[in-house]
Amino acid sequence: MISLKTLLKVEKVSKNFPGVQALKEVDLEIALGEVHALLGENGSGKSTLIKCIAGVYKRDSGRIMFQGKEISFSSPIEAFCNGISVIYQERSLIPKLSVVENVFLGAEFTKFGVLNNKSIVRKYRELCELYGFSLPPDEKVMNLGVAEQKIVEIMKALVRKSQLVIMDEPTAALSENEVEHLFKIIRELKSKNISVLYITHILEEVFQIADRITVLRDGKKIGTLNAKNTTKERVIDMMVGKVLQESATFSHYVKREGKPILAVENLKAFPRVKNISFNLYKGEVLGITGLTGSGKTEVARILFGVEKSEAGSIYIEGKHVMIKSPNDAIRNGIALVPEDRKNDGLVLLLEVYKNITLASLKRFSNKVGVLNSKEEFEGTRFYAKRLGIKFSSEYQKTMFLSGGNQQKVVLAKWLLTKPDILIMDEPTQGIDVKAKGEIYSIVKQLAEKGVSVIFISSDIPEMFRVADRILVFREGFVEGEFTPTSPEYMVLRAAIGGLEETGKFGNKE
Amino acid sequence: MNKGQKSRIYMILGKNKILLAFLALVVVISFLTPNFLSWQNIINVIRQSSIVGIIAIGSTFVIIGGGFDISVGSLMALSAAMAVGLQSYVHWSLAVVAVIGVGALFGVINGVLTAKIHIPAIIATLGTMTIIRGLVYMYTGGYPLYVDNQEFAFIGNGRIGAIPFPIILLFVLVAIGQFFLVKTRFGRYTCAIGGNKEASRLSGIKVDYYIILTFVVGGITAAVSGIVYASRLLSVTPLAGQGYELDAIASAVIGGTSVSGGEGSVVRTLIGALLLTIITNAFNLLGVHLYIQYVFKGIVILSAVGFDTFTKAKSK
Repeated sequence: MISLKTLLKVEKVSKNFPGVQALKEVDLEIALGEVHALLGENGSGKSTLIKCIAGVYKRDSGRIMFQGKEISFSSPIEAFCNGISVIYQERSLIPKLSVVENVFLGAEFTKFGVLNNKSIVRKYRELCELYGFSLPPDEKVMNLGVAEQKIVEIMKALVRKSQLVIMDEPTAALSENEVEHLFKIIRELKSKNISVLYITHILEEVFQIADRITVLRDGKKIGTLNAKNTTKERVIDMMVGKVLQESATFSHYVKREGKPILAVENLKAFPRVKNISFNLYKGEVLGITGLTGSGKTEVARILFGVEKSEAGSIYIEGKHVMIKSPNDAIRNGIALVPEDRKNDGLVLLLEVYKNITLASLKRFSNKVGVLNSKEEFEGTRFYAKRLGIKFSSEYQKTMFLSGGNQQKVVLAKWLLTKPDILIMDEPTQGIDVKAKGEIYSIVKQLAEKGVSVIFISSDIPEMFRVADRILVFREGFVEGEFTPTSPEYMVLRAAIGGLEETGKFGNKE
Repeated sequence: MNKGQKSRIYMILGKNKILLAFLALVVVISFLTPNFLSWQNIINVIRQSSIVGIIAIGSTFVIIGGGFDISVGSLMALSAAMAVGLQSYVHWSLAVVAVIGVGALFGVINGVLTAKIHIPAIIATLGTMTIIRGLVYMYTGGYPLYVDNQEFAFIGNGRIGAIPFPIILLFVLVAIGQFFLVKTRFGRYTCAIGGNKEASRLSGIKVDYYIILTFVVGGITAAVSGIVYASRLLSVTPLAGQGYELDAIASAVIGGTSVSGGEGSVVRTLIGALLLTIITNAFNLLGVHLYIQYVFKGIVILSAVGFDTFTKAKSK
């Protein structure tokens, strides 16, 4: 049962970023020993709110009370030392150190400056007994699974006597058994009066573990519900902001004429891609959306030859093809604008024009490999003009461009290869609103010219601006197919798994 | 001074620091030692730079591609020993061709160990450095080898007009190296791979192949350097070339080649090599003790690299 004592109270907290109000007078209350779920679509303000609580951002206005005192941490470390810890999606452990070394990192017991391993291990065993952990203390963290690593992070928080543990999509990469195990530990925390703020997209989980649910939308708090007295439908309504008027009878299947340019059949790759089949037609923009871990990125990387598949076939214009490397993919007319622009898309150290011509350098050189710089510059200028890339000169280093311009450089690089199939993985991530709009119109123009585009994004509203057809992936399967005229909440429901009760997607009816 | 001006000055200094240091050093030294600017001494300095300078061309490619090769000193010694030794059996020109082949072969080995077996380049070439030095001892039996062949001697001792042949060879190789780096696909790919291996792979570049190729260039330049060395002295001791790999790497980094890969220039490496020789030459003219010279050389290397890495870290 929830005790009535309040641990954390957020009152009318607002936060502005240039051009966006990320939080508008948000309230949130977490009781002692409560598991509180925070829900909302991408961009609803969830991460901004936890970052304000944990001292990553400074709030513009409002109050945050923790254990009865007003707090205003200036860094995450300060928050951590004062009893609030955040477990982010990306792990923050040191892989080569052991479990016990990680758990006590920065909080070691020493005797005359020398590590007192005996009392550290004793303390570790106490912790294990108290909360029912069973990880071997000397195992290196790099040998642990993702779920076990999460547990190490939780233990780390407990050593610092955290009263509030914030978990940001903790189950994103976990198997069912691992999720079960994590939930057991969360219940254990609860029984010791430690509060958990649980951020997720997955509704089933919320109803399994949370006491209360707070929904954010567009930076505003929509409401707090008691998990026991509410339904999935109601939560989804709050998240999308539309009242459900129809549900099961909506047909979303789109009939397509002609032969597909790309056909993917029964693609499988452990652990994320379980069984994916779809067709891509000439000159269409196929949107693919889904939650983190639904297999979108993996499918893109398999199609481009970066990752291997265990089973399944890929056909291009009806011909079966084997794609074992990016080189094979390029030869088959496929291009990939990767998700991680800075690490996978660009050589930041190199000049703009060298990045733009990098994938098609053979066209700009003669048989023995001597480059023709004049043609390289012409190619660069042509695409700079067409895509509206802004740089001070072709010699400017790519690292000095803005995110939007960098993304356009990646795009220009691939357009120079004259692809038939262009795959874009989260192409608008981290770029400003204006550049986003420009990317959408470029994509549409390309499709009109006959390029087939696969546009992957976890931003659902974006799908409706750019795609001709929308596929939703969920847990490694194709969950549904929609058109831009389908209601947005249906797409969201397919992504988070709310379609079961209303019947699987329409074409089966 | 505002931030923009400051960073612009840093940039101008950064781009040309090697040239500025070079000029400053020449001015200072020519005041201190009147003999320094004599024609004979200038020719001497450049000729002395040629052995390490040729190796450094290859090192520049390897470092830009993101690798390191410390086996080139040993490889130079093996090449020199074989260039001398093989002449007992074949014509000198055939010996030269064979030696270049051996250099290329060890380049392939270094490249495969690094790119395919994923041994960190510095460790992989530490291994081959030791192996090759062992091969030098085995080949020479531990004794100096001699050769007497006037045609062969031309490579190291001949002149075309007033210019010694090694100088001409050095400049021609630098020009070829610079051309390959700037004007060919191989050079562009090398910069891209050293700058970001994953992005290069995702651009369809055969990353492993080109990494191996940089080591082959390193092996070939070490072999050519060994030939010049053998021809110059007409003899080789098993200890030849020790520490040359470090001088070659130092030349490249003093010349502004980024130690983390992706950036560099063969011409600036040449200036780096000249700078190192000038320091030694000036100290000799001034009668500074050899031990002190080592200390000073180390400081020069650290300052050059430190300036580069420090300004980069600051601009981040």
